[in-house]
Amino acid sequence: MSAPPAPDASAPGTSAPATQAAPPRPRGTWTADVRALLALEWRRERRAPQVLPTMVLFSIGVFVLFRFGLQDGRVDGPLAAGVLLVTTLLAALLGIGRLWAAEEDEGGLDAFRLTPASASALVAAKALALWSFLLVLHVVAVPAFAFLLLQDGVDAGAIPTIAGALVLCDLGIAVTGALVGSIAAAARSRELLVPLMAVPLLIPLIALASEALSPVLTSPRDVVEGRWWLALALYDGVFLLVSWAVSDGIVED
Amino acid sequence: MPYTRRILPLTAVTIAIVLAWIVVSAAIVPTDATEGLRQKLTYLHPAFAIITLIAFVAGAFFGWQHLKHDRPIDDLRSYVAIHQAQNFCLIALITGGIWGRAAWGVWWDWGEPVLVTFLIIFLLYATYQPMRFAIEDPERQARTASVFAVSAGIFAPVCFGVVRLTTNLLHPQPLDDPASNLPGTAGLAFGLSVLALGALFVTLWHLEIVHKSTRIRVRQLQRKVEGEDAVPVVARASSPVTL
Repeated sequence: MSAPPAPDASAPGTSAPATQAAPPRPRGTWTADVRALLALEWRRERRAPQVLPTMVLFSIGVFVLFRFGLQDGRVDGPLAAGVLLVTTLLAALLGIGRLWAAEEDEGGLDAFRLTPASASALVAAKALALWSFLLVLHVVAVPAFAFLLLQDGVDAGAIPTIAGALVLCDLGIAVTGALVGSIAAAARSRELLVPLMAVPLLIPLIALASEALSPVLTSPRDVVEGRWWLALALYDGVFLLVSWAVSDGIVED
Repeated sequence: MPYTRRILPLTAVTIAIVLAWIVVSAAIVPTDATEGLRQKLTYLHPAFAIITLIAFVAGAFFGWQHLKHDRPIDDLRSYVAIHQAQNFCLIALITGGIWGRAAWGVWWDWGEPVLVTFLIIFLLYATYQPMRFAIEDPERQARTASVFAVSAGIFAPVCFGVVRLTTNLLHPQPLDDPASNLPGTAGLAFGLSVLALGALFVTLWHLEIVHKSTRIRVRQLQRKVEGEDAVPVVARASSPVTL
């Protein structure tokens, strides 16, 4: 028995050997590419706001839902952290579903392949775009959460800790979301696949962020152990590395 | 193909190790005075779980090789490793449930982090085939599946690490426990269980690769002889490698 043959040289995904080596690109080009692609994401969002308003409105709707679901009850401690983080995760799923839509539906990926920019620049820009959307979401959603659901409001001294934990959590969601979005983008039923893949991948992140957030959402405020911050940063770092390593596989034709 | 030549010796070695495992764990290791027959599951359930995790990581390795070298055979290796690992994962969950029922009186405990983590990993990998076969272009399908295999293969050990960090385990770890009074042969039976199921996994992996490669080759010949329409489009789209 013989091994399955290598793909035909003329088939998509395989290219003839380059006759002329491309000149090396100057240093600093990668960051310039990421900046340009990130600006494109934001320009797209400004022209036709889709992701950000949807995420914000969805989050506030969920907080109101919790308000009624908990029978006008208020939350604090681990329950408060859980409500805030699960709402963030569900809102992020909406954003992840749309993240690669333009690339797939409007031929953005084909256009990108014609540019000399590296695949990792596109994945980094997608992750940064989602991260920035999530940070903007939290600027609106956290005060709304404190007003609608939090037992004793937010202590001013706890704000930097909450912000720090959410920044790390959002980075993890953004990096994982960019990866999952790119995997699901090629599929026929991407709207169904995104939550199926993203939720299991993000459970450890939500568990860690909940451990980091719940002491500061408890009344009276408790001290957060440093290991949760470290674990959050490690999780983000692992998925940053994975995304960078597989980025060529995502974009390659 | 080397896989075909390896099947017979591999099967013979696997049968020998599996027999040794059964004899040692059933006849040589004494039955625990307090736990009774239930304790024998220690020589079955953890080994399935360990081999499952190793197999998912192996799937990630082959996926990475596919992304790096663009060889269809690496995609097939990754696909088969994940497929076999899914079967092992399901058996680990079922045997874990049986053990839980005997030890804790419940089939499933949502408060037990190791069980829940294993379920999360199973659910994540359960999306592998729906994701893969929802992509029509075979080359893109293979590449995207490899990206998934690498991401999920790295996630699985990270997930277990996080769970061990965040929660106090209820899950028994008698072989690590200095207070445990298990006899020395228990360690041997446990080691043999991991070895036996590892050998079983490798043999099944070889068998499935040979089966799929043969089917692909037959379809290619069929198309050559009977024309492009001889193999239905559905069969081509649901193949783990480019037909």
